[in-house]
Amino acid sequence: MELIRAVKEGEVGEVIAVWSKDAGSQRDIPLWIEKAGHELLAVNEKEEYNEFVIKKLR
Amino acid sequence: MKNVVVLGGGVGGSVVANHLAKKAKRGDCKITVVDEDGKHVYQPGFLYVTLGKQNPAKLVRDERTLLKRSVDLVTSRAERIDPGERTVHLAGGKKLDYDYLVIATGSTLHPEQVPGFEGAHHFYSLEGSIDLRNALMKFNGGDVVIAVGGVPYKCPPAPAESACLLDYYFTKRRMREKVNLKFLSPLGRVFPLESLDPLVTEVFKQKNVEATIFFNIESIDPKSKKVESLEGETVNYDLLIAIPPHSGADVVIDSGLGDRGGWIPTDRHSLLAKGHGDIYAVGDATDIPISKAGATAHYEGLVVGDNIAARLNGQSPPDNYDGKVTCFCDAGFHRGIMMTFDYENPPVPPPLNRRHYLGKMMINRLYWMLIPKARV
Repeated sequence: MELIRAVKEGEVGEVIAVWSKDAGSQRDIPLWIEKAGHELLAVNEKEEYNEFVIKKLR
Repeated sequence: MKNVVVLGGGVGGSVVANHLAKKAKRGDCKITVVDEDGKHVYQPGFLYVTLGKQNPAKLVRDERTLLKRSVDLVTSRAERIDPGERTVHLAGGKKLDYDYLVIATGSTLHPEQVPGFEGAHHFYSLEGSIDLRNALMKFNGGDVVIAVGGVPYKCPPAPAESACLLDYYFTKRRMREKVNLKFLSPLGRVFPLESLDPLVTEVFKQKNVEATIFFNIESIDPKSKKVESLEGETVNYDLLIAIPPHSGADVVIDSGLGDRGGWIPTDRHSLLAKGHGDIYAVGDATDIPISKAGATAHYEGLVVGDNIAARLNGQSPPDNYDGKVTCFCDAGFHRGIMMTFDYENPPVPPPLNRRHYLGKMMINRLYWMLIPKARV
């Protein structure tokens, strides 16, 4: 939900990082990015969470 | 004597003010609640208004009747907060000085942010709920679509609850076979709380509610009766129920205290606005990524009331908010579910039963007596 909010509020071309540790989001975030037509630049595994780095494309 | 100013007379603001009035020593503080219209609205009743089961007038009371006598109520619009001067500027040029400020200004609806929203109905205001009730009464059959126009939004389970209650409503009107119920979820699952998703998915299957995931409204075309998503899909409707986009309150945005959505960056345990030692935020107004719901505001309000009372007494704040939320959902046909969860413990899938339905009905009746008055 936080990712959708951030992407909607962001500008085209903006790079957004989302930190997430819940299992559902690990699965949902890449699926949503693909469906919504944005680009997943990186997934950085941290000790307590994963960082998803996304570029808003449209 | 210290001044405590509470902006907003909804659940969070009322609980903070009344709880603090009970906890603080007499003479320690003067508590002032500022509310734009002085009316307190019980929003969980909106869904029942849409079904014609709730008298709208009974969902509104004067805030004055809910506040302790020692709490002052100022009916005015708060226009700007000046944290440096510790002052709140009100409409008409009046000012209120504070030692502690509590921002409980809730969410603001922005249907205008979705092109074509005039083609939709919603149940997120009293007026919207009455309009939807009238549209449902005239509805003869077709596609009823429930969708979300922006995240975050208040009471995340409410759209799914609405789908279940419309199944019940149309069944009672003996026209369920003429109605296709379509539920467009903004997330990658049907229900926002992941551990409950399998249960709600099964309930939707039983009730013949067709669900689509990852559908966040981009625009509505009222002429051709189509709704388009951010993700690029289009769905036709005969009657559209759309949750309007939400933001934080104007006073938060105009004071530079909000993020891009107008939500106040808030410490999730102390509930202090980040970077401010004397400003608390409760309820929808915060940026904490948990349910924007009355129960959240209620539990947060008790923590803030305790902590301000202790600080007035020269003690350390004793309480931390643990993310507790309790939620009752009505699944129709007199069955419901109750969920309690916090930051560390997701809700355990509960049984769908009559007891939890009755629990919801009981809360609807006892709300005025118990919750704004901070008796529980």
